[in-house]
Amino acid sequence: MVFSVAYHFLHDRSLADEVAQDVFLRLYQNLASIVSPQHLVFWLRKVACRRALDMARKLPKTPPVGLQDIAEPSAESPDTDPLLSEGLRRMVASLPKDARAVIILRYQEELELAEIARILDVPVNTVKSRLERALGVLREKLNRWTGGVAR
Amino acid sequence: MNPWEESLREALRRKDAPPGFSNRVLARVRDLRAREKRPWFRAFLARPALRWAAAALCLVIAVSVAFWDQQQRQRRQGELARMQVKQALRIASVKLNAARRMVQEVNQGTAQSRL
Amino acid sequence: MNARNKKIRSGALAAFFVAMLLGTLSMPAFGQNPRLDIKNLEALAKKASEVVDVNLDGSLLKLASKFMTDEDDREALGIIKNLKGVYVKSLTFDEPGDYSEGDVEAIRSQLQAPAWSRIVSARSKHDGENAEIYLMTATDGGSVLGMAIICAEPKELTVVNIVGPVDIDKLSQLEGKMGIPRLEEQTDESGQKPEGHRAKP
Repeated sequence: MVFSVAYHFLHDRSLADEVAQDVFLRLYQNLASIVSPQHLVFWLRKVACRRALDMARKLPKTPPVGLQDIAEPSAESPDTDPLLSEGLRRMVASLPKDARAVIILRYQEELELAEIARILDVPVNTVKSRLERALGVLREKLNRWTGGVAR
Repeated sequence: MNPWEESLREALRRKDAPPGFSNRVLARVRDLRAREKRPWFRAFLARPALRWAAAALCLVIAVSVAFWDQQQRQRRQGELARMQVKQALRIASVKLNAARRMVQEVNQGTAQSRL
Repeated sequence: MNARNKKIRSGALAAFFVAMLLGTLSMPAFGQNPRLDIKNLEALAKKASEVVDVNLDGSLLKLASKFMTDEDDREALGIIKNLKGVYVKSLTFDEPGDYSEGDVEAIRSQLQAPAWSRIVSARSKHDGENAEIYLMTATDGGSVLGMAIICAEPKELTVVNIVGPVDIDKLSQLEGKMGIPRLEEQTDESGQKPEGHRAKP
């Protein structure tokens, strides 16, 4: 989960690895403050998002997605479109950082808006509007990428 | 969720950490311990075996909880899918039979008018 | 025979063998896709007062089947066993006329493709209800590849799309089980059906 949040945020395996290591290191240092399994999951998500955000701030701006940039599809479930999935991952990684976190928590972790608001420490309405804007941007990018024949 | 959001969910499916991840975390914990200056903690973690055990315990707990969380999520998804299957089949069955009955009524009406 | 003629002849022979091979294989013809595009109904759903929206692809059906362990679930499990998708859109509107024939036609036009056969078409002028059932079968006329049901009532539009080898008889027999009330034929003395006789899902 932690690595996955970082990976989808940064779209870079080695940076995600570094962030995930960092999160577990912090967990080791804060283990005494964890009170339950649910708290631990909440804590991991919160810190993973925060660390991924910090890392993203240090990086140069992500270039726009081009079809030529999409890597060869790796083995995925037979029902998925690997090109589309990879394209979407890159598009998510190119979103503004705040929006990126909301999208990942919503669609990777499948959390409700209230839970996302708790993790990111923002009001629910802020989460809602970031989500709507992010989905709008993603739809637009996807339309341009597929030449207007988005799924 | 509409199909395009399904694609998004599929694209953002959880990815596993690369191989050797646990070892790298443990290595960093070791380095951290070497630099730490908390006397009360130092006394406890003075023994390497205990340090390793504590770090390994953290990882095991975190991985177990993440696994448990994933299982719970999958259970919720599965139950939801089960309810949706039943709902869909209910609707399909009712509409299928309604159509068939309409045909029967028409046929009966035609047969009666011929008598 | 010169080299050019030899090339043309061998090309033609190759094409002939490929065509024969394709003809003998029991497989769906190119362009046969039992999955309907019901995107237009998503826009229509915004006008509906009630929406039932089910989108279950192969992986979700597999996941669901792992949790269908009750006695109740046995028959449903038998139906979905080899299916690749179950998609239902049922829209209920406040007023007749809130959806148009054009909305239905956008779905129906996809079912005019040669691969689809309409097996039931029923219209009730009295109730303003129109029901159609379509099947897609493999080119050898054998296995069912998919099914579509369109039920258009004055204040309700339902589209059901099942992808895969659906057993229609088993599906029909579900009525009366799984909490689905059986629709008994009821008429009053005048031979007319009483109001509200239709079982809503």
